[in-house]
Amino acid sequence: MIYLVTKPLKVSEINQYIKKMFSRDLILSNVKVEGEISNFKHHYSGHMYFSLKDEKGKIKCVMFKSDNRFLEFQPEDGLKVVITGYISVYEKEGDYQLYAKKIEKSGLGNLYAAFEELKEKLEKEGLFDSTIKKEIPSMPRKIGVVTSSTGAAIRDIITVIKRRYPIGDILIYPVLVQGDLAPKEICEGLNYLNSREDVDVIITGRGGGSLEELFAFNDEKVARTIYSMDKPVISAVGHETDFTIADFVADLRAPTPSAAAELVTPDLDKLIDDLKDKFDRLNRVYHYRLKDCSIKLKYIKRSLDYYNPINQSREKTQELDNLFRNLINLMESKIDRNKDHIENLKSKINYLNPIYYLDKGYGLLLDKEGNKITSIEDVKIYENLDLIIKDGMLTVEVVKINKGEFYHG
Amino acid sequence: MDNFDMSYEEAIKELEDILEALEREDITLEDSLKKFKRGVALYNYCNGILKDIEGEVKILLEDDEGNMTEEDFQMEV
Repeated sequence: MIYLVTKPLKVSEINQYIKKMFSRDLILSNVKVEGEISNFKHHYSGHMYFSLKDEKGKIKCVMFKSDNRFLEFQPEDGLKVVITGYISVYEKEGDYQLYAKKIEKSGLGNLYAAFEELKEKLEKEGLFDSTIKKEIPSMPRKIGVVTSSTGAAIRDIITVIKRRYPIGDILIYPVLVQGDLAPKEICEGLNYLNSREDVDVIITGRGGGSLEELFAFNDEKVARTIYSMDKPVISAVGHETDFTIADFVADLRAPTPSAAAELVTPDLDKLIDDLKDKFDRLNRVYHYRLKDCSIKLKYIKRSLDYYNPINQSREKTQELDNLFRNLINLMESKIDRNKDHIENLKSKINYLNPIYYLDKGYGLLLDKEGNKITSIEDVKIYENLDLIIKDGMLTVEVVKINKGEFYHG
Repeated sequence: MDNFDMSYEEAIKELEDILEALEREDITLEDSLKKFKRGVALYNYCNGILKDIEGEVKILLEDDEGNMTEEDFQMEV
């Protein structure tokens, strides 16, 4: 044997050489490896570091950020996967590792095909028909829940119901939600709660998981049981992106258990507010009616008063009184006017009374027949005349007649 | 006169019908009073439902003979 021993190689040189060897290998440069993920770490740089293992061995794996951003699921420990990529050497550590370009859940192909096949079959049978979906009661008294008594799902459901609708009762039928026994237990739980008089609606579901973990909710018997229920069923399986057969056949599909609890309960605070509003409206509208009636009544009363014969005769009486008063007034003023007139006449008479003048020193001359002498023409010379003065009568003789004015007043 | 063998929804529906009737003007005052009284009774009934005691959380357990029993459910924190 000839040993080609020349000078020693540096570590980096031998690692480089090995790396070149790997890259020339047809198998290692493009390989598919099946195994279970362990020690999974999603580094903050965005790269993923983990190991792939089976019963007998283990290989380090890396998936760079540029490749893993297209992943449709989050890899996690215990997940069985098929990785497509190449094997190369990390020279710094002298490790060989699997550089993953693509990760698929293993067995997914079969499971997914079975899922699609069952979905199609049940759809054809009409199990997903939207016209047969039962209505979810808006105010359930008791909510049945078929799920694991230990998972986050039941905790989320109770928390949400207690917050939104604390008066609702919850009845839990605990079941396994994964494993071979899960479908049978879920069916039993659904049937039992369906038979309970006091349960108004049923939620069945679990938290998110891989297709394998959700398989109980893709089970044909579970689907048919949900379909046969008298009571409305809400499916609440996994996170929002996971769809199961149970989701299609249920009367309502909730994306998560918390969402199912929201969908099945009204908001109690809102109900109380709405009811209060109705009560206020009732009071308002009733009192408005009363007020309206009393206004109308007042109006009618006024009309009645107007036409009331009693009030009418009273009015007539008053009218008569007024007329009478007017009459009296008229009469009185007429009498007063007459009295004035009489007074007036009386004073006029005074002026005409001859005694008034006799008192003032004048005399009244009469002929023997008693006629008043007012002109010089009425007397003859030597005629005897009577001259009446204030306190007696003189018989006088006309001794001279001087015609014409003499009186110097 | 007040029969409350009904659900909350039915009671609310009747209360809404009463409100509508009262808002129309073609009912008698006597009817208004009757409806108002019934409305108040319905309100009290609905309010009673909403102010009901805290709901129970029970878990079903199966004993050895296959009988189902209910127990208070304690949530793990």
